[in-house]
Amino acid sequence: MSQYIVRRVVQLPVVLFGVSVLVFMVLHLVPGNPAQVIAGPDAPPETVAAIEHELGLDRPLPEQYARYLGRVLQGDLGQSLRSRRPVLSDVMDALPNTVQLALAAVIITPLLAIPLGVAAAANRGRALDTGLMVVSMLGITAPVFAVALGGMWVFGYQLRLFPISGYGGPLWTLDGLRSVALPALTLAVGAVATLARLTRSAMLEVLNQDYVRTARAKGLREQAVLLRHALANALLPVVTVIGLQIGVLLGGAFVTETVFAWPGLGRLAVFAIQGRDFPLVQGTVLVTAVGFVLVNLAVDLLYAYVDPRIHYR
Amino acid sequence: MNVAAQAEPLSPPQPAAARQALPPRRQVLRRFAHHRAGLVGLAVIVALIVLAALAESIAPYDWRAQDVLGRFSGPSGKHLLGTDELGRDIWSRILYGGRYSLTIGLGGVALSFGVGTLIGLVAGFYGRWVDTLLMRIIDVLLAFPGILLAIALVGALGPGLLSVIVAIGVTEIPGFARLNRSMVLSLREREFVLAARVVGASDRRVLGRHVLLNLVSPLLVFASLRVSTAILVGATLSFLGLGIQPPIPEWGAMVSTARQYIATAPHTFVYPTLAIFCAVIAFNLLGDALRDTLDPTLQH
Repeated sequence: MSQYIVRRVVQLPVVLFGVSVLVFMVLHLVPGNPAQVIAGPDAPPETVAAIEHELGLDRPLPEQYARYLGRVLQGDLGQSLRSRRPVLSDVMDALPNTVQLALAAVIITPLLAIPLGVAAAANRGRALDTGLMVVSMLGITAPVFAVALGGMWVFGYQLRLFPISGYGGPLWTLDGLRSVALPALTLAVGAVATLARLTRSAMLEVLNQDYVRTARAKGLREQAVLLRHALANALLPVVTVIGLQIGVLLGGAFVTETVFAWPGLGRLAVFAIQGRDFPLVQGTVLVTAVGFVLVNLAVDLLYAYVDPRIHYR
Repeated sequence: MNVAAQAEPLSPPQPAAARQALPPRRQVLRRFAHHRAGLVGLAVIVALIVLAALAESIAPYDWRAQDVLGRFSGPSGKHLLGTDELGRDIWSRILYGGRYSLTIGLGGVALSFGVGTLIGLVAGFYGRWVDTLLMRIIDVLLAFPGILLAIALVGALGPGLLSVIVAIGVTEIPGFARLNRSMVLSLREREFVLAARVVGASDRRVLGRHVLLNLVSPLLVFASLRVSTAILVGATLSFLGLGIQPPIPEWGAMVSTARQYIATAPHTFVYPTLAIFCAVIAFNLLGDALRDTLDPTLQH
């Protein structure tokens, strides 16, 4: 098992290196001369040449990458073409907001999913079970933007329960909680649906076991059987999946943040790409990918520590 | 009594034996024919393809035709699903937009299927440093959460159908690569592969003939499920203004424009969303049905 940990940690710099290369290449994938794109189609050739020199685009590619990597490691992610501010400060302003949103979604997901899954398993075959399974199927297949807009319409416009956009404040304030509610719920929908189904099947498997039959035979109330004996054992695969869902949540954040005007990293990335602000694009993509890799590694290592049965080739 | 008659064992007619005599391909088809959800999915997919292909002939209006005086009207005899913010017929636009969603879904998966399968086969079969190198590249692709890679690629390549297909294709490569690699790894040690090698079959022959045929079933299942993801990602990219742009009636782009009018004219948002839903669920049902029929020993 420690071999697994060592291997994962050793792979980390390789993967991060690959990520940085890919992000660097983004600017060079753009059809045409990047400097021309930045300068605009009407700019005179001297302007284009000046931008080329300023961005170092006239040097050979590997040298450009080396300079890029050197700057990144020193914390210089370039300057946003539109806001003229350092990319790093734009990113650092946005990052805590995304973290709060993700945290809210990660907390909500098991709180909603596990009771729903248990309820479905306990009422197997009956209306509640079938209904929950259909709804969860919708939750898994629904596009995030549809859920976001639908939630916005129902809870924001019709019921006027929650604010439909913007950041109300940090999570520990009431305004903050109200403003994070809709985005976090939207983010969580897919994960809740998946986790609820998983909880249901895990519970069903456990409920077939002998020790459950024993508990029932002893005359325990059904509630005690469910909660005390079955649930704890069913939770193990469920906990494993929660960690995997973190990645899914981060992926869905782009659309959710854009729709709800949540000032996080996802929305920043989308704005940057829409505005062809290449330094900002590179910066946000790099930070997001690196964060994703680190979070996944932390989750994997945690699971390897908790469940020593895990081993890979 | 001749020798041949004595040699045959006497047994009563066996209906079960006659059923077992059906070739495996027919068995699979029969199982599929009984899978109701799968048939529904397949029917919807066929309907989508037909409707999209014949869009220009069967649409009541040109998808560009505006009727500004009649904008935002709800479903009526004149307009099956109502009109949008420029008075264009929503039903005609959905029909035409289906072409884009289907092309993106099938095209993107075709790309990732081809490249991912090649990578996975080579990595799994040759092993050692080839495997390590290819899998590291796959890890780098997997380092980007969800649609980030697709967003970045479309951002770099610019809007348009081809960039969307390439972006989605590249994003889906790791899934196919890993699936193929793990299947090849387990098949590599199976008897029939070892037997072929003993007889002296070349690498290419072993790969092509013996290994490939066994991969087809799980690959088909995986591919059909990925098509629904590809359609979703394509719609999301258009929704964000990065993929297919308005006025082209790609369903995600339609939802994006409808966003501003959601409080006053929700039908402009509802119908394109339902179209997306139908396509996604149809491919999911097909994928589930394929999984149940092609390998009923799988527990899921």
